Formats: sequence, structure tokens, C-alpha cells
Amino acid sequence: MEQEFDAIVVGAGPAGSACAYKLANAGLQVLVIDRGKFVGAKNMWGGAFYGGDLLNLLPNFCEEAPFERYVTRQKISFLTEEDCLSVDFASPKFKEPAPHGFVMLRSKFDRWFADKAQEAGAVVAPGLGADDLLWDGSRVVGVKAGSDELPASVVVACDGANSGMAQKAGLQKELSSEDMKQGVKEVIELSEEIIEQRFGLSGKEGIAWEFVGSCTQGLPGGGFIYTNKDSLSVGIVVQLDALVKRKVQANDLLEGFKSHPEVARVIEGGKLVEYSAHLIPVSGINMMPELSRDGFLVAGDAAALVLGTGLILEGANFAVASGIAAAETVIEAKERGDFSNESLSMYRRLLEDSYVLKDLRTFRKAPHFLENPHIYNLYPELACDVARRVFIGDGQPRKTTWDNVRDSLKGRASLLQILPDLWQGKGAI
Amino acid sequence: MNIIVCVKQVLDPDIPPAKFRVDSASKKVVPPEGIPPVINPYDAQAVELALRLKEKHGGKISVLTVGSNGADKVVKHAISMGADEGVVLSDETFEGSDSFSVAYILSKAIEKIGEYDLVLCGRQAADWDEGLVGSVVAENLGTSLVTLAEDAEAVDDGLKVKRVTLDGYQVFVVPLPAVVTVSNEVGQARLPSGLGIISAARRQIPVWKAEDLGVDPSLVGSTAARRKLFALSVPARERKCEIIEGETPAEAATKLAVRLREAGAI
Amino acid sequence: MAENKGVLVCGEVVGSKVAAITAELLNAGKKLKDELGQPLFALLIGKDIEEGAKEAIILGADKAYTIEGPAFPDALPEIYVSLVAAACEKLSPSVVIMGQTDMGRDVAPRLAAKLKTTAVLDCVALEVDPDTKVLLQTRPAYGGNATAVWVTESQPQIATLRPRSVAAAQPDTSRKGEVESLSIGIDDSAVKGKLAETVKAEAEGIKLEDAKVIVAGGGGIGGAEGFESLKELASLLGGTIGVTRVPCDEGWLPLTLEIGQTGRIVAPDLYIAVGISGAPQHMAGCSGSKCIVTINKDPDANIFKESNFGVVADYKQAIPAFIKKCKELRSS
Ligand SMILES: Cc1cc2nc3c(=O)[nH]c(=O)nc-3n(C[C@H](O)[C@H](O)[C@H](O)COP(=O)(O)OP(=O)(O)OC[C@H]3O[C@@H](n4cnc5c(N)ncnc54)[C@H](O)[C@@H]3O)c2cc1C
Ligand SMILES: Cc1cc2nc3c(=O)[nH]c(=O)nc-3n(C[C@H](O)[C@H](O)[C@H](O)COP(=O)(O)OP(=O)(O)OC[C@H]3O[C@@H](n4cnc5c(N)ncnc54)[C@H](O)[C@@H]3O)c2cc1C
Ligand SMILES: Nc1ncnc2c1ncn2[C@@H]1O[C@H](COP(=O)(O)O)[C@@H](O)[C@H]1O
Repeated sequence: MEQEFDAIVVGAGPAGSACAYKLANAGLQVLVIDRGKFVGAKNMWGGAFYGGDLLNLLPNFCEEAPFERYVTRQKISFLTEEDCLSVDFASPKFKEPAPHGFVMLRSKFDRWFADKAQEAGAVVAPGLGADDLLWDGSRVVGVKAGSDELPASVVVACDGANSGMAQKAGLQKELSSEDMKQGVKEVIELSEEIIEQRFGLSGKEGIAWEFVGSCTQGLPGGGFIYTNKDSLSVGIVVQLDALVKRKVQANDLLEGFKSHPEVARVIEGGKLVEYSAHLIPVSGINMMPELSRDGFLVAGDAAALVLGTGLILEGANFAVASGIAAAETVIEAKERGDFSNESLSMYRRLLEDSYVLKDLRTFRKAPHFLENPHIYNLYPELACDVARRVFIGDGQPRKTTWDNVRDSLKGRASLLQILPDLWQGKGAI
Repeated sequence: MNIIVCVKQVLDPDIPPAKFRVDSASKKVVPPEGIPPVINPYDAQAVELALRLKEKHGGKISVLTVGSNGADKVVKHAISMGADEGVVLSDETFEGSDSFSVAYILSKAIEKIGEYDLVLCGRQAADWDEGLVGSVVAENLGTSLVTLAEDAEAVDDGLKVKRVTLDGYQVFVVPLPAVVTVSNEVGQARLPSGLGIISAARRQIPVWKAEDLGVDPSLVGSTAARRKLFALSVPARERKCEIIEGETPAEAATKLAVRLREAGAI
Repeated sequence: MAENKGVLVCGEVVGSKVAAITAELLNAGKKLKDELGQPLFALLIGKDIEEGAKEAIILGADKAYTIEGPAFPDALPEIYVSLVAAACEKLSPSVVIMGQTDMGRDVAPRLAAKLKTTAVLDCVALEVDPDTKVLLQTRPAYGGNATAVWVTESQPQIATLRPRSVAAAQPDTSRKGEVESLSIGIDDSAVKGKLAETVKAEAEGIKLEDAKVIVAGGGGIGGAEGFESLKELASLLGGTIGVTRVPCDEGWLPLTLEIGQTGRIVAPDLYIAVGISGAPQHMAGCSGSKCIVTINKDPDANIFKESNFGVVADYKQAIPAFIKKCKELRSS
């Protein structure tokens, strides 16, 4: 080895690239390895990146980054087999003072971000997967990749959901299907004009659209549509153990979702150009591993830093924030010449002080609450039924909305059954 | 043995057909977003052959590519496999060059490097699938040439090369220096090693421009091209597929046999 | 240089007779001759090829030239090239066509370099643009993903034609034409290497290119053993087996059976594709088949789009049942 690295970052997703960029900018010798044939090769997500971390880290982000559209509207829809009740939210705040969200495609964004880290001086090596850690006693001193041993003062594991590195470091057990959601997604190509016309968008405007209800056939999870420049990202996210128990394939759910009239309408005539699947750790802080040990840090999905409240599924911003915090920690550790667990414990403090762990604590109860099947079958149906009663005149005298709700409930559930949900939900989401 | 390998960056030939797109009006291929170009697979195999020769006979391997932005990636790929060094040949005036101009540019760079025993090219570039450049380089340099090699070894009076033919092979013995184009029969190119990837990632790849090479600008670029693209399209190969179904795979297969009989196919 | 005129077919001979590709080239040449209004010449290099030259005339050449010398594949390419180049300089044809064969794909690029023109290899169609009278040379590109049409702006326009892309010319014994032996001396200074050996691996059974039925297996077959049932099916249907790149890379079957862009180009009446995903580089070699039947367990496999009949199934269950039914149908 020509020279030992200060840090080896395993994984060039948002967490890894943010960490490497920051480290390289501080003049540290950084190596980023990623097992993909190229950076971003197998990575996927729904599509929207929220939060200002990237804008702070990369001041020219808006001009340079290969994002598809800004998120200028957020829409949530409740689905039954046929109906769809939506809340469509738009606000000038989405753009001012800076855009609050960006719709992006991972293959492009990840590559761009890794290139930024490279420009800053990091050595980025795609095509190289870490198979194991190198140890000196109880201290991590590098990684093993194939037959090569790559030494470093510290290893930052940014290797995503179900992190092999965190497991090898003994910080995380192999995750069970209860802690995971399965995401499947298709990219469907449509012309820019058609997308803008169908969604009422112009210029760089874009929409982030979440769905709850029949799209997951009552299983915990949801569907999504994000508008790219000239394609749509259409997918669903479902609790993994529920899939296993029900013996359904995420694929089949996605097909069902795509055939819902509201969805079919917007994807009509599109051409399927990409299909991908990925796991998401969703048990939040309940499944978070220890975040460090001697010579070792974990960031992003590898540390289960994902917020899944049902309405919100965010992980990329947490990944970036934690990658930056890990880098700040390593920079100080390098100054001190001390990469012990104690020195690296600054990382946890940084995360505790930031929104990352604060948000995860706030929504600590969400994962449990979200297991409640009512959310995925009863409530969407109720909501749509009420809407149907309110909007569709059937020649009978109209009733008040409240009476409609009561009528809808009849035969489905009693108020007594629902009240605990409301109570739980109040604390969880 | 000092070996120069010519490598080209091409659209990843493994992209799914659904992602392949051409703009017929501008007669250009539209590269799919998010999928980066790769080293021409036959050129990776040429690097592979070069490495085997080097392992046996010693020497140095240099790689050359004519390309623009990002072409250093293919040089780095070759280095990560084990090549010693490489150069990108890039100049605005090279844009739109045809095979003959590319061969001319490569020949100039090879002459500039000077000391070489063997030049290896791929049998064809997996984009336009031409298979011209290697032969023209040999003609320019005035060296011997063997095309479609599946193996080579140094012998007393030069290089012994096995050339693939449709029904077998031929063995040539040619004096050095020689140009050899490499066919896929040499076998799969090795994957880069970890340390190889890292040392390549750390390299700055030098760029030689037209003036560094002494390239006559009137002999390169689109105006010098001896041929033009008249049309470019995606062939319509779709057929209407009748899917034969059955309760079990065996039943479906049985029905298939019956259906094929009806259709007179068997 | 005088204005280039004439379509020159560089034929190949087998012994003293013309090879099959020569008859195809002459047929393609006849069309170009009519479209251009220029004569059609044949050039044959070999020993004792008078008879072949007469055959070329019967097949449509207005005039046949012969050069006494070693024929391909025993000729050193550089000698062969220098002979063809000398002939071209003498005859100044506007179009030179060869087969995309062991000979053509080696000689055409070298010849183009010598004559300071260019070559378009592996064409599947050749025609003359009625307005400009230039040759439109159609060939696959991008592994079969695209079709490109090229025009050459220098003279002569050299193209190689993929075997079997046009029918062979029909003999017309009433045709008369001159045979001229060109005396072109071999330039020894052109000789660089030597040809030590030419080995022809005799294919067992039916040649892929001649087969009416091909049962082709791909990566989905999973191992060499899996091909036993495909071989059984092939022999039952009177055909032979072929493969994609994957079984060759894996070492299950030899590369000589590979079908595709870099393998063999086949066009049987029936092509049964088993465990093949349908990559363009493979389809490039079999898309000319009359009927394509696919057995693949992935309903989304690309190959279904290019097939006439399909079964979505694991071949391990499907093939035995298919064989059984075929046997029944045959005996009834
Ligand atoms: C369907 C879906 C929709 C989503 N939608 C959103 C959304 O809209 N907004 C949002 O903010 N988040 C979303 N997320 C979550 C978000 O994608 C993740 O939280 C985020 O990508 C985490 O980043 P990361 O860098 O930690 O890990 P990843 O992005 O998973 O990156 C890990 C990297 O490590 C590499 N790697 C893995 N193992 C090794 C190894 N052994 N050696 C070397 N490299 C290795 C991988 O190749 C990969 O590049 C979604 C996720 C899914 C699946
Ligand atoms: C420059 C270049 C040139 C190439 N030239 C050629 C060429 O000339 N010829 C060629 O063939 N390839 C060529 N290739 C390779 C080509 O791109 C593909 O990789 C190759 O054809 C794929 O082979 P396959 O379909 O057999 O394998 P795969 O793509 O692995 O597909 C296997 C298929 O089998 C199915 N399957 C799996 N198990 C079963 C089962 N039990 N029952 C039924 N179905 C099953 C799967 O669903 C899948 O569709 C070339 C590639 C490059 C880059
Ligand atoms: N731009 C280029 N740079 C370097 N080598 C090239 C380039 N184009 C072609 N070659 C070499 O020539 C071979 C044949 O290319 P082609 O004639 O374009 O099919 C390739 O396999 C390369 O080895």
C-alpha cells in the first residue's frame, strides 16, 4: 500500500459521499469504496430529498446537481379499490428561501455526489466491495476487499440497510423482517409535456405524491409517485414480514397499484424503463445500533437512521446529516490522533443535538403505531366513503358530514374501536 | 515486451434494449441517463492478453484512448487491471473523426511513444461494431498484422498468433513490431483488483493534444471523414408472441407442441 | 485517376469452383449493376480457377478476372491484399464487395487502408441511392440495437456483405463473358509473416448455418448436463443445438456453437430458445429465423417480444413434456 488512508468510507450512497466530501475538504486522505459496478449502479429510492444539509454542504447544489424537479407540491391520497381522496398541499414556502425538496434519480445523483467527493480529493473506487473488517485486537484498522487488505485509521460504514459492516463490527445483529420495509419501484418514461400537463406543473416544478390504502392491500406501507423530468417514479413500500406472512409479492402489489384508476390515468402511455427493489430499515431508534467503536463509525441506513411515520419516509437527508457528523468527528479525532471509541463518541453527541436523533425520538412510537391495519384498510375506506356520501348526490336529502361519517362507520367499526387509534396516533405521528 | 493497447470508451453494451434510444433526426445515439459508458469489452480482453504476455515475457503495458471528457476512466480501468500507464488523446479537432482519423491519431501517439513491440486493439468497438481501426493502424505504421487473435506468445522470430476462423483457427508467426486485434475467444478479462482500483483512482492520466502529437488538423474531425452516416434507426424486430398457457409447465409445453404442429412448424 | 466505374465482386473459391458466398455477392452485384448502370466484374484469386471464372459469368458477371496465386485461407493476408489492391488500381471500380467471411473481414479493412478509402463491414443490405448514385450500406450497429446506413465519400466504396443476407444468383448458362487473367506479380516486400497452420475443426452433424431447426440454450440451462434434453429435442426435430455467450463463458459448451453478433448468424425455419433472455447481441444472430419459440421462466424476458410462440415455464419441466408430445405427434 502506497500510503495508509485516514479514513475508509464503505458505500457511496448519500451518507458515504457526504462524509467523504467533508473529510476530503478538510484535507484528510479518504478512500471511498462501493461494491456497485459504478457508483449508484444498484441504488434506488422513491425520490425526494428534503432538508438543507446538502445546500449547506454544497452551496452550488441548485445550479450543479442533477436533480429532476423541485418538490413544489405534496399530495397525499387515500385509496380504496376504486376511489381516491386526496389532500394536495402547495405553498410558496416550498421554494423560499431555498427549495425544500428535490426529486432525484439515484443513479445520477449518487454519481454526481461521488464525483464531488473525488474533486475534493477523495479516492473513489467503485467496483470494490468490503467483505470484512481488519482488526488489531478490538480495534478496527481497515477493511478487507477480496484478497486485498486496506488499512485506515478509521472505517466509516455507510453501506446502507442491513449493513454488513455494522454486523461485522458486532454493533448490529442481522435485522429481522419486522424491522424492514420492502420498496419496489418502476421508472416510467413519459414526455416532459405530458407530465406537466397531467400534473399541472411547469418549469422545474414537481410533485411528491404518497398513497395509503388499497395499494398495499391493507398491509402496512404505502405507494408513491414522484415526477422526474421526463419520467415518473412509481412504487410501493410494504412491511417485509407482512409480505412474508401474507405470501404476497411486492411486485403484485405494485401491479395492483398501477392499475388503480387514479394511477393508471397518470402513467398511461408511459414506457417502463427501469425496475428496482430495496430494503428500508424502518424501526427507527428502536433498532439503532451502537454508533461507534474503536476505529469505527456507522452512518445512514447502516445505522437505521430512517424516519418512517407512514406519511413521511425520509432517510437520505438523515444519511447526509449523519455522514457529515461522522466526518466532523473523524476530523477532530485526527487532530487529536485518537480514534478510540471514546474519542469517536462525539459522533453520537452531534447526532443527539441535531434533528437526526431528535426526530427519531419524536416519532419513536410510530413504527409500532403503523403496524395497525386500520390505517391501511379501514381509514382509507372510511375517508373515501364519507367523501362519496358528501359529493355524490343520490336523490335523497343530504345529511351533515358528521352523520355521513356515522353512516360510513356502520358495519365497519365502532367509535370505540377507533378512539384508541386516535389516541395512539396522537403520540406517534 | 513493450505493449501498447488501444482502448475505447463505449456505451455499456449490456444496457437493456428498452433503454437503447436513437435520435433519428440528428442520427445520434441518445446515451441512457445514469448509466456510465464502459471500456469496450474487446479492449478489456486486449488488456487481458497484454497482461498474460507481460506475465510471461516481462515488459511494459501502455494504453491509449482517443476520447473526450471522462475518457480517462477507461485508461484507469486498464490500469486497475494491471496496465502500467496510459494517455488520453483528446482535442477539439478530433470530434467526429472516423475510423481512419482515429487510427491516424493513434498511430501518431504510438510513434511518439516510440519503443514498442506490439500494439493490441480489440476486434471491434462494441458501439459501431466496425473492426477497422486496428488494421489501419498497422497499415499506417507499416507493421505486420494479425486480426481476430485468440492467443499469442513470443517466439524466437517474433510473435506466434492464433487467429480465430469460422470453422477453426490459423496460426501465424509475424515479426515484431506487430499489430494484433483481439477477439473474445481469448477469454474473459480479469476483474480489477482492489489495490489496482485504488492505485488507478489516484492516478492523473496525461492528455496529449493534436499539437503534442503532430497531428495534421486537416486529416481529423468530421470534415476529414471518408464516410457519413446516412440514417440511424432502431430495427423493428418485434413479433407478436402467442403465449401458450397451461395449468402446469408440462401442460403448457404439451399445448405448445400441438400448436406448433398446427402452425406447421414441427 | 480515371473515373471509377464498375462493381467488382471479390469472390472466393473452393477448389476450382466458386464458393456459396460468391453466388450471393454476384446476385447483390447484379442489382447494383442495374441501379448504377455500370458493369459487373468478378475477381477470383486461386489456382486453376478458369472454371470458377466461367461459373462467375454464368452467375451474372459481365467479365471475370483471375489472378494466379494461393487462395484464401492458405494465402497470407498481406499477399492477398496486395493482389486485390493491384487489381483495384488497374480496374478502378466504383464499388468493391466481398463476403463478411474469414477473408472479407480481414482483407476489406486492409484494402481500404491501402487504397486510402474506407470500408463498411458486415452489411445486410446494399442499394444505390437513385438521386446521388452512391452506395447505401446498411449494417447493424450497437450490438444489433441499431441499424446504420453509411455512405462512403471516397472511391472505391468497399463493403462486405453478411452471408445469407441475399439469395444466391441463379445460373444462366446462356450467358457469355470474357475471362481475363491478370498478371500481377507478387510483391515479396509486402510479405511480413508466415502462415504456420490452418486447422479446420469439422463440426459434428449438421452445421448450424445449414440447420432447419435449432434448439438453443442459454444461461438459464444452468450447466452442461441441462443440454442433454435440448440435444434430444434437437435430434428428434432433425436439427442441432446452439448456445448464447453464457454457456460458452461458463465452459458448458464450445464457442463454436455460439450464436449472435460475434458467433454464428443463423436463420432456420424454427428456432427454439430455451433459458435465453434475448440480449440484442444474441438476437442479432437469430432474428432472421422464420419462427422463434421461447421457453423462459421470466415472463418479462425481452426475448418474448421477439418470439412467435412462448411458454413461461421452467425448462426442466417443460422440455420433457414437449419432447413427449412431439414424439406422440410424430408417430400419429
Ligand atoms: C423505495 C424507497 C423509497 C425511498 N424514498 C425516500 C425518499 O423519498 N426520501 C428520502 O429521503 N429517503 C427515501 N428512502 C430512503 C433512502 O433511500 C435511504 O435512507 C438512503 O439512501 C440511505 O443512504 P445511505 O448512504 O445510508 O445508504 P444507501 O443509499 O443504501 O447506500 C449504501 C451504499 O453502500 C454500498 N455498499 C453496500 N455494502 C457494501 C460493501 N460491503 N462494500 C462496499 N459498498 C457497499 C451500496 O452499493 C450503496 O451504494 C427510500 C428508500 C426506498 C427503498
Ligand atoms: C460486445 C458483446 C458481444 C456479445 N456477443 C454475443 C453473441 O454473439 N452471442 C450471445 O449469445 N451473446 C453475446 N453477448 C452477450 C449478451 O449480451 C448476453 O449477455 C447473453 O446473450 C445472455 O445470454 P443468456 O440469455 O443465455 O443469459 P441470461 O441473460 O443470463 O439469461 C438467462 C435467461 O434464462 C432464464 N431462465 C433461468 N432459469 C431458467 C429455467 N430453469 N427455465 C427457463 N428459463 C430460465 C432467465 O429468466 C433468463 O431470461 C455479447 C455481449 C457483448 C458485451
Ligand atoms: N477512440 C479510440 N481510442 C482508442 N482505441 C480505439 C478507438 N476506437 C477504436 N479503437 C481501437 O480499435 C478497435 C476497433 O475499433 P473499431 O474499428 O472502431 O471497431 C477497438 O477495439 C480499439 O482497440
